[in-house]
Amino acid sequence: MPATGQASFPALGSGAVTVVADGRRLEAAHQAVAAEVDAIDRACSRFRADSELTRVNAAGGRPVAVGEVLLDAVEVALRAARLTGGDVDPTVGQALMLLGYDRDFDAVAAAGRPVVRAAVVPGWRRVRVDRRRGRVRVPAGVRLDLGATAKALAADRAAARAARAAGCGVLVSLGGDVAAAGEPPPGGWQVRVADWHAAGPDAQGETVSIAGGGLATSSTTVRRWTRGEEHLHHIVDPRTGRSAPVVWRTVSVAAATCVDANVAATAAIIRGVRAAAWLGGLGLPARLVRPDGSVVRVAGWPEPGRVVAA
Amino acid sequence: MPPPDPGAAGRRDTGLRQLSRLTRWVLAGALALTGALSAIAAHAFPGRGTAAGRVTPSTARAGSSARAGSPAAGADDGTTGGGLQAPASAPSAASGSGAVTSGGS
Repeated sequence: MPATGQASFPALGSGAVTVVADGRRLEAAHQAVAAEVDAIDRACSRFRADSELTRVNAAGGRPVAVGEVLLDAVEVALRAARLTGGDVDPTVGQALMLLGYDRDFDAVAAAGRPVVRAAVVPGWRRVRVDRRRGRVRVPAGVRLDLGATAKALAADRAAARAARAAGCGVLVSLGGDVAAAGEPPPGGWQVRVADWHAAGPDAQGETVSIAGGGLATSSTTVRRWTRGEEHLHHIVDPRTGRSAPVVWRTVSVAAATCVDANVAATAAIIRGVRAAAWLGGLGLPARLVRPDGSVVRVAGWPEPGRVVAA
Repeated sequence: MPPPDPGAAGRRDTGLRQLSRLTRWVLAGALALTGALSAIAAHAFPGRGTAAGRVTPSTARAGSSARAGSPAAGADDGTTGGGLQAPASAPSAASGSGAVTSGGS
């Protein structure tokens, strides 16, 4: 049985990790992942002046011709909004800016003046995608933010592309959004679940094994900043235009794709006390962590320590 | 009584025809303007479909807490297989630190 291989590089404001079931195929998989990540970044970044998304947001309500990647990404974001009843809404960009998250997070001031007003989130139904003409239009003043879906979409696409290129099973993590494609190694892919994707192997959390699909985690403990006395984080409730109340510290979800996992995890943070029942009703295995560290597991998420021999 | 002006009837008929044409043009213009304004309004303001406005027993899943007035989460407007999809198999417990870490970013 060939040994697995692993490579990583900085990407999308965090990091990309490629793991292959056959270490001899690592280079091919790594190149495929890098190409896919670059394509998503050039299309979907809110902070790159040369991205297609920046052009769309600056178009003053006019339709903008864009490539297939952004068309796909916006359609995925609108699907997320539809499936969550508007909880995961890509039109929160202006609200994030008013809260202070108006540049790459590393450059956001940790503290500042109080937020005196929150933006009314315009709503995803006002976004138009014209697939035939290859155009996207958002009303003047509306800013799309694809943060809840684009990185997960990149993970799904990168894993599939890398598995094709390498001809073996591939696991991709983009800032903690995890996708697997192809034949997994014996025993599956081992994934640590924690509050922060870069916390290191000894971080408080659990390790699970997945055979495929996606696993994503949303957390209110990262990308935090303060304005006045208010502690803010990056997950905005579209109904208030402010950071969602912290009912769950961290939510991890497994799904058929990383996009679905991330949409569900983000929606769970916003839904608060109703999240566990919602996830259970959808049959999505999930681990929800309260601020005090206590854990709720639903839909078959395993208890730690019950390791079953492969 | 003066004799009737033989050209008066002709001028009257001509005037009535012009008035009739004008009326038709005004009517057509009003209809076109109404249509154009309706289209502009439809694109400018967010709509609410009747199907999306209800959560019916057939689309709401047991245990779901979809909000009243919101689409049933996972239903995807009735598109088969279009909702949030569960994995083929649930994660299983494992030991060790894992090849990657899923966490907030």
